[in-house]
Amino acid sequence: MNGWTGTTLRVNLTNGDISKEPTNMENARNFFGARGLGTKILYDEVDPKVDALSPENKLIFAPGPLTGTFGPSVGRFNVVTKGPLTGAIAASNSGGSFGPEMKFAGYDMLIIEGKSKKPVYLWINDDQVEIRDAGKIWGKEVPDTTDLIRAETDEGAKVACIGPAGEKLVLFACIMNEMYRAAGRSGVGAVMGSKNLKAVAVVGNHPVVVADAKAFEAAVMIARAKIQANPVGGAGLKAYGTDVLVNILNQVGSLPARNFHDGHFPTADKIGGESLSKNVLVRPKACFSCIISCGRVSKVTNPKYAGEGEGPEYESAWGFGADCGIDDLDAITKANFICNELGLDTITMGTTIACAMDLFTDKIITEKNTDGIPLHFGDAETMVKLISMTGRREGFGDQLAEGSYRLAKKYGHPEYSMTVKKQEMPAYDPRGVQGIGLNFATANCGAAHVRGYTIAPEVLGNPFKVDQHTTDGKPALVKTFQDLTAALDSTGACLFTTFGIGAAELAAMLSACTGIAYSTEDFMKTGDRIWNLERLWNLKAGFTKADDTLPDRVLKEPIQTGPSKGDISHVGVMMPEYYKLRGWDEDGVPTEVKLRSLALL
Amino acid sequence: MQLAYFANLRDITGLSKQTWNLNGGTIGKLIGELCGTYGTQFKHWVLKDDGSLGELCIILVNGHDIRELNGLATQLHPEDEISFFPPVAGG
Repeated sequence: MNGWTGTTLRVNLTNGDISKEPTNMENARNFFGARGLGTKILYDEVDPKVDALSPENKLIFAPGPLTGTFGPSVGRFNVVTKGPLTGAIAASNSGGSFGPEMKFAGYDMLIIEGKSKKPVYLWINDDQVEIRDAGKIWGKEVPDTTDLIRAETDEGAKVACIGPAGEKLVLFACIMNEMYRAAGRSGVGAVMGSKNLKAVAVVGNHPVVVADAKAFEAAVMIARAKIQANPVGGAGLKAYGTDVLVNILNQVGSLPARNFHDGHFPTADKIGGESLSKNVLVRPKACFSCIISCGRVSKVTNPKYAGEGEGPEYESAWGFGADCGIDDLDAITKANFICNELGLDTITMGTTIACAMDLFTDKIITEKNTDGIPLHFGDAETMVKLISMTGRREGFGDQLAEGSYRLAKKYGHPEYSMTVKKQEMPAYDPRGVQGIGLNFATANCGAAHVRGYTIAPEVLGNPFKVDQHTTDGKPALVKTFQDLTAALDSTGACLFTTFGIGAAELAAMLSACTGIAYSTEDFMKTGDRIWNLERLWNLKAGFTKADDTLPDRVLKEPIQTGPSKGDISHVGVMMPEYYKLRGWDEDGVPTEVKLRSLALL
Repeated sequence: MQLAYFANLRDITGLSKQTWNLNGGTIGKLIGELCGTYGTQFKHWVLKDDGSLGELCIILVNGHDIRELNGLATQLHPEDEISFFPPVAGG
């Protein structure tokens, strides 16, 4: 088998059955792997109406055909499931080395079914697979979990695990791998916890075989050269990490502040990449096969927030920073460390705290509701304290653990939650950047920047510059980015390779790797196919066009200060054209003609 | 006018911000003066060899990208705030 291993591992935690089955190669051809193939499995095998935290949900770990090869920055995998935060399809992407190790062990996918009666972990040692007791590890944080499992299995094992947050079914718990890499969004860690599955440990010893080694090498060298020649992929991200975005978004007036009350944060410079490099950075870090090295190894020496770990990324620095009105980088970095240790999505955690601060400021909640803890924008110490409480569902943390939508709704004001499909918007104000707002509103997993990162052309001018404030041309731009990303996610490549290469180079690598000749058009069409399959699943889960929108605050309340002052989101203007370009009817339902064109009917 | 530098442009200029007296003119003129002050390293990030705007370099005037204004011919005023970013990205 080329690129793919040809084997899917299925583990039923209810009855302990472990089986290996041939990977369906027609599905692999049509959906690649990772996000695409995982989505196809979910679509075929899981009723969209199931309770996400029930044994009927499935948890699918899937690398892509490129994962584990010597391509540039191709170490990714996806976790696909029904997301408990949203009730929508979740395909949470992660880096590190876990995905490649799954391929080395011989597996295209790991499908977890059912629920174990007691805490267990899965040990995959090439073709030997065991379900092991996790009683002594249950309750441990991510670093201790990783160390203990390695001591019981293999010091070189790659470990994907949940922390206390996943065990406690925090709705935005994540799955961590290599301690600091996260399959972050939508609560995939809670699904793992609901199955009493603490971890998956993998060791593999078989290299990934490619169809045409010479052609693959040639395609890889072209891709590498283009990424390295690009000033962002080649040097910029390594020097400053993703947090360098704080200042640029703030300077264009689209850095959401204080729960999206504004799009500008006066002291943003204190929490940006420049400040991070000067104050907490130890060194950059790369994932498997990565030539970009955007990761940050960091350390806080301030005794109040002392700690070591990785991060913060831009979204995390923003979520605990500007969105909470906080400019204390030590506190923000500590918050990120705690999230990694407990296994919490930093975006939802930060923005849920911001929502709580907003509710408190407007006296919708009081100290009676918050265990006597006042919640003010700008209070860094309280922000840090709330994270530990949330990860263990202690006190008011038990309410925060439900995410901002359920928190705000509980107190009668869901409009304070800055969410789409109950998932919190990330660090880009859709009032100041029109295209990203359309992406937030239509992403199948709920609000997510990585589903169609139009910030690249709209703000950064990469690969070309478009006006961030206009709606003209944005539906087509958003669709293109969404389709490209869906296809890319399904190969195992990192999204940051697109700072340098595009569909043509990815298709060339994929073709040489798998032996299947994918043109650029085939590549993009596969992305469109994956997008539509996700959409179909969500429609069956009960989502409608009413869910393709943004919070009222960004539709009706203009940005107050800064260069985007006065802007609101015009997502409603863009939606009809977006549906049309997608080949959907006026209700956002894919037409029969569209589905046939994608071989989905 | 107020100039602000970000990312590695801070290392090159040694500053995060400064006040500059341009005596009327365009962004192109300003960059020329800054290249004269900060040398070839600054020029490398901001201009191509042919003198056109550097690839992926982001220059904002009052928060608006000059690629959407008049490029290097964008007229400046004494009260303007100009921000200089080398190619940056994230996610």
